Amino acid sequence: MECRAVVSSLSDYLDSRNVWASDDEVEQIETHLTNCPTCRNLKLELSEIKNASRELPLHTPPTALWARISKAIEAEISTENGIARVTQKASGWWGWLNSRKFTFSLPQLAAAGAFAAILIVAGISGIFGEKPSPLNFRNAQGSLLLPEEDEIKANLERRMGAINARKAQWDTERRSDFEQRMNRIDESLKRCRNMLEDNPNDAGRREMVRALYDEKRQLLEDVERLKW
Amino acid sequence: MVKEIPSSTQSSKSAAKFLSALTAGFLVLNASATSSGAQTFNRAFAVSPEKSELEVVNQAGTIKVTAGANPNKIVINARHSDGATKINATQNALGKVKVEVTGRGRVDFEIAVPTSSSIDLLSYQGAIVVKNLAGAVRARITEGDIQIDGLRSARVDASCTQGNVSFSGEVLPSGRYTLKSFSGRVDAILPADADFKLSASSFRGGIDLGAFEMKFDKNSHQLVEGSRGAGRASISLWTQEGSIHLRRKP
Amino acid sequence: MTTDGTNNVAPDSLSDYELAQASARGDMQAFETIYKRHHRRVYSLCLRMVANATEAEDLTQEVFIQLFRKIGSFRGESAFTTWLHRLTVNHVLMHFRKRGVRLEKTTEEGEIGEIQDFLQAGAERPRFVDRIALDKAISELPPGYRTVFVLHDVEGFEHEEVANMLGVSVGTSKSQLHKARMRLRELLNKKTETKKETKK
Repeated sequence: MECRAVVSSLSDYLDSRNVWASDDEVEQIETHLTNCPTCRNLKLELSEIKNASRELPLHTPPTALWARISKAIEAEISTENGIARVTQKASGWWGWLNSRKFTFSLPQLAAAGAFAAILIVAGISGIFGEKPSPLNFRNAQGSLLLPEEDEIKANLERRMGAINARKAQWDTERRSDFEQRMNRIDESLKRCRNMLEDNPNDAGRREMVRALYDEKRQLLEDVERLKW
Repeated sequence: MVKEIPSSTQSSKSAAKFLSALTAGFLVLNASATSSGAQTFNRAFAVSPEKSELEVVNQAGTIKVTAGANPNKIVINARHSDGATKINATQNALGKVKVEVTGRGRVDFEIAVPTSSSIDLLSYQGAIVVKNLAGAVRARITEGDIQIDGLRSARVDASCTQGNVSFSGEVLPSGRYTLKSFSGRVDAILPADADFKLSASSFRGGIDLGAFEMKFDKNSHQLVEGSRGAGRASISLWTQEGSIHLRRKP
Repeated sequence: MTTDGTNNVAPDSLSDYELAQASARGDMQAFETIYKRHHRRVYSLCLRMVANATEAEDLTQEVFIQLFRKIGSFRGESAFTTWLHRLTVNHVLMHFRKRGVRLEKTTEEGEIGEIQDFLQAGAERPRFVDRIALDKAISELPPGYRTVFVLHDVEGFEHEEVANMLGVSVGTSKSQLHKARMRLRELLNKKTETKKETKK
C-alpha cells in the first residue's frame, strides 16, 4: 500500500481500530506504518490531536450573562402572563406559565439590577480574536476560586511550554506515560474545580484543588530535574 | 573542611572484591564488572556531620538511604546493568553531595549518610527507602513506593504520583510532616503520645484515624482537621485516589 | 446556597433531574444552579463551533432561554448533559442554517496538496499538542471541518450521529473529519515553526 492510500485511511484507522471492515486493509496499513517513518509520524500526530481534543480548556462566558438570561426569562413570563390572560390557553407552555408563580428572591433581583448597572465588558473569551484575559477561570461571582490561581496557572503554562519543546526528543513510551499521568491529574483537577465552584466557601474543596495544582507542578518539576 | 575522596569507576582489571567502607579512614576500592554484566559504582565523600547534604536524581531503580556508622562520610554504592547509564557524583564547594543518573537503565542505590544529614531524593520509577535519619527528608517518586522508617526528623516531605507512601517515626514538637500520593495509600505510624495538628484529605479512599483520639474541627469522609495534645507539630496527609491510615506505633 | 424561605432543599445536593423538575415548577434558584453547573460546557461548545465570542454568548443565552422553556419535557431517560448538548448543537446548527453557512465545504487546495506537503516535510517536526494552540487552531478551521471536528472529536458524537445532525452521509462526515485533523496538524506545525524562528 502506498503512502497516499494509507494517509487517507489514517483517521478511520485511528477511530475504528477494533471494528474495521476488512482485516486485510488493517494489516496492509500496519505493514506500511512499520516501514514508513513519515506515515508513522503522521499517525502519531493525528492521534495526539485526537487525544488532546478531549482535554481542551473550558471557557467561561462573562459574568453578566446569567443576569441577561434571567431578565429575558422574566420578561417573557410577564409578557406571556399578560397575553395568556387574554387568550385563556389552558394547556401548553403558556397555560403552564399562567398557572405558575415565579419567585425571584430579592437578592437575585437586586443582583440582576446591579449587574446590569455595572456592565461588565471584561471579554472573558480569551483566544478567539480578543486579547487573552486572565479572567478566564473566575466563577460566576467574578472572583478567583483560589486567590493565587492566576499565578499558579501562569507558572504551570510556562513550565509546560518549556517541557513541550523538549518532548520531541522523548521516545513514545516516555511521552505517552507522561501524558497519561498529566491527563489523569487534569481530569481530577477539572472535577474538583467544578465542585469548588458549586461551593466556593468549602475550605476542604479548596485544599483539594490546591493539592492537585501542586501535584501537577510537581510532575513538571520532576521532568525538569530528571533532565528529560 | 571538606574534601572529596576520589575513586575511579569500574575497570576491566582483575576482579578486586568490593569492600564497603564504614569505618573511618578507609578508602573505598574499585569494583570491576561481574560476570553477569552488572556494574557497580562506589564513591565516598567527606562531610561535616552537622552540615551533611545529599541529593540524588535517579531515573529508574531503588534509592535506599540509611544512617551510616561513619559520621563524617557519605558512602554511595550502586548497581546497574546498562552500560549506557551514567552515574555522576559530585560535591560542591559547600560540601553538598549530588548524585545524578542519566540514561535509561535501572540503578539501585545504597547510600550511608551521617544521621543528621538532610536529603533530597528523586526517582522517576522504582522505590525510595529511608531509614533511621534525623535530618530533613525530601523524597519524591513518580511511580513507586516510598518507605520511611525510624525517623527522628523535624521535616519530612514525601510525595508520589502513583504508589504508596509510608512513614514511621517520631513527631517532634516543631516538626512538619507532609505525605502525599495522587494515586496510592498514605500510612503514618506514629507514637501513641504524639502531639500534632492534622490535616488529612482524601478525595476517594477514605481516612482511617486508627486508635488516635483527636479534637476535631472537621471530620468528614473526605477531610479531617483536628489536633492532639498541644498540636505543635503539623501533619499533612493527602491522596486523590487512595486511602489514608493513621496507626499507633506498637 | 440557602433557600429563600420556602421549603426548597439546598439546590447543590440535588441531581440534574430534580433540578430540572424544580425549574419546571418555577424555581429560579434551581434553574440558576443548572446554569452554574452547565454554562461553561454550553458556552465552550458554542464558542468552538462558531469561533466568535459575541456570537457564542448570544447563542448561550438563547440556549438557556430555550432550555427553560423545554425543561419540563426532560424525563430523565438520558443523562441531562447529553440532552442539553443535543439541544445546544441543534440550536447552533439552526443558527448556521439561518445564516446560510454551508457545511460541506471542500478544501481549497485539495487533498493532493496536503499529501505532498507532508511527504516533503519528513519526520523532523516536533511532536506535541499544546491545548491552547489546538483551541486556537480549531477556530481557524473552515466552518464545515470545524463543525465535524468539534462534534466528533471534542464532543464525542459518533459519525452516524454527526451525519444525522448535519444531514449528510456518514462518508462525508468521515472525510470531513480527516481533512479537519490534517488541517489542524498543518496549523499546529506552522505555529511551531513561527515560534522557532522568533526564538532565534
